[in-house]
Amino acid sequence: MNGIKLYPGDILWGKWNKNGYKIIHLLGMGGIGKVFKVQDIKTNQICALKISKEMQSITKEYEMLNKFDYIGLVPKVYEIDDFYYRNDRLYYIAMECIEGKNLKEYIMKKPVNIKATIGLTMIIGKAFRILHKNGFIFGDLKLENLMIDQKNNVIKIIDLGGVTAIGSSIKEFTPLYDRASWNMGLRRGDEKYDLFSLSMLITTLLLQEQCSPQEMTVDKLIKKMKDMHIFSKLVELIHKGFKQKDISFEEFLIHLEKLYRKDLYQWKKNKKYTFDKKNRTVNVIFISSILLFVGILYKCF
Amino acid sequence: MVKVEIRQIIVVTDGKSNVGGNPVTAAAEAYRENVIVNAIGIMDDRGSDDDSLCEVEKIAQMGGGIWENTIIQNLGQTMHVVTQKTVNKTIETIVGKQLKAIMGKDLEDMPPKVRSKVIDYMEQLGEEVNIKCCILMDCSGSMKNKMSTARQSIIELMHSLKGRKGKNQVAVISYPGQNGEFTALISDFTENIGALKDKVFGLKAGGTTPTAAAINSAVTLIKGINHEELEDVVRNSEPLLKESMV
Repeated sequence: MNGIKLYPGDILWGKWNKNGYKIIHLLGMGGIGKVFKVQDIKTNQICALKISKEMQSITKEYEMLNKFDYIGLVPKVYEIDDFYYRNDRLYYIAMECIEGKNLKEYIMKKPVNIKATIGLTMIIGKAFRILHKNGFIFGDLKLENLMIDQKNNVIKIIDLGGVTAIGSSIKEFTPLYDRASWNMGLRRGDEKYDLFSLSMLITTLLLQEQCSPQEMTVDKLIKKMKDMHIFSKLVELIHKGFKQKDISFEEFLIHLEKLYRKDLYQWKKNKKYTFDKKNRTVNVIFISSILLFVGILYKCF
Repeated sequence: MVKVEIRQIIVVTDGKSNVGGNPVTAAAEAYRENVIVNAIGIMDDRGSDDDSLCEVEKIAQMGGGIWENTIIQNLGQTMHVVTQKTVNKTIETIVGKQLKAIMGKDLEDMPPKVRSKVIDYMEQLGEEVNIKCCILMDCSGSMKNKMSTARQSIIELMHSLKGRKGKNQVAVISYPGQNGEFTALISDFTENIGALKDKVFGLKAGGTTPTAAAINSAVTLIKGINHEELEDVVRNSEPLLKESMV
């Protein structure tokens, strides 16, 4: 969004809670606003401020961050407020600042191996199941929205702006992961919408490149993966996920888990994807994420 | 609950209007008729000239709408965003007026935590509101290589609208039309994706950019006047402005 011009050193004061924040630097920008790393003036705490002109979107995201705080994979949220800046009214949420790289930046430097890819998808998928059971879908899944929290060695889902009530229309999305952009379904909140985006997430991790829905079809992506000799059970499962027929979100996860546990020997056959030592850090992170997650699941049910 | 219908035009253009009247005045007139005019400028990889970007902005400003500049690959997403913002804006205005009448204050004068209930209500209204959307597709010569993506984007918008609970109707007008006509009606208002899919293949590039005439035809179509009258409107559209000539 081009309208928000804040620079390092700028200080802003919330209208309602009277908290002040000093801008440190820009962390990123998306469809509805910008995220800055800031310092709370009263407490000196470092946090992230998501700032936008869209009141509806910011208010919804604040609600969702609060609601799904217990999943543990989302940043802690501190407050919601607004302020005037050069005749503009801007809305913001203050939340935990996660130090680390997002997954897109991460894989550019170090490709993620196939087992870690499946493990990661499982963690995300299980978090989504909790949302589904509560009547919501995640919506705007993408590599950029997944952060490796270096302090705690876990995966964090950083943007809940796309969370949509089941049955409502999708408002925020990214074409690469959006089934309507691939001509594979409506922009409506149902489990299958998340199934498609999750399948695309595995695909981008496996192909190690991002394709454009204008230049590709889902079938071409499947063919590409087959040509790379990625083992066929996984490719077939992804294909089913893309088509969203004959498979539920839950079944998709069950199949993934089976592949994760049983088919280890097949990765060993395929040299390209054997465990390499360079990938150790990422594996540690995934394993600790899984452990954390299992703990949370026990707490929830 | 209030029953509202949002009537909007999305002008898609990759250049400045060069024949058939001033699009900015046409947009202002449309807005007076309660039709919101949004405008999307298609930029080239090389970047576009400031003049046509400026026109896109002015059309939307006078048309009470939203403007965006984008590359053709992102047209589908941009049409979604523009529509989404129009819905939000319209609902905010309506609910804002009601709030003012009941509580004597604006939504932004309420603390954020109180807002969230009103916003839930607004979201629900936004889901259920009926939308009548007329897409004006620039089919001038320079769009030649972009037509297939443009067609796809229209279908994509339909898939997006169909995700909502309210009734959605989409019409498509191309400008210029064929055989020297300023505009051609590619598809009248329809809720049927299949029907629209067949018809958008009628979009073919070649010719001038009569943006004003296109806006006028869209307003007429939205208001439901028959086609003979529509041609009259086109013919009687304002005289050409000198600075907008090629």
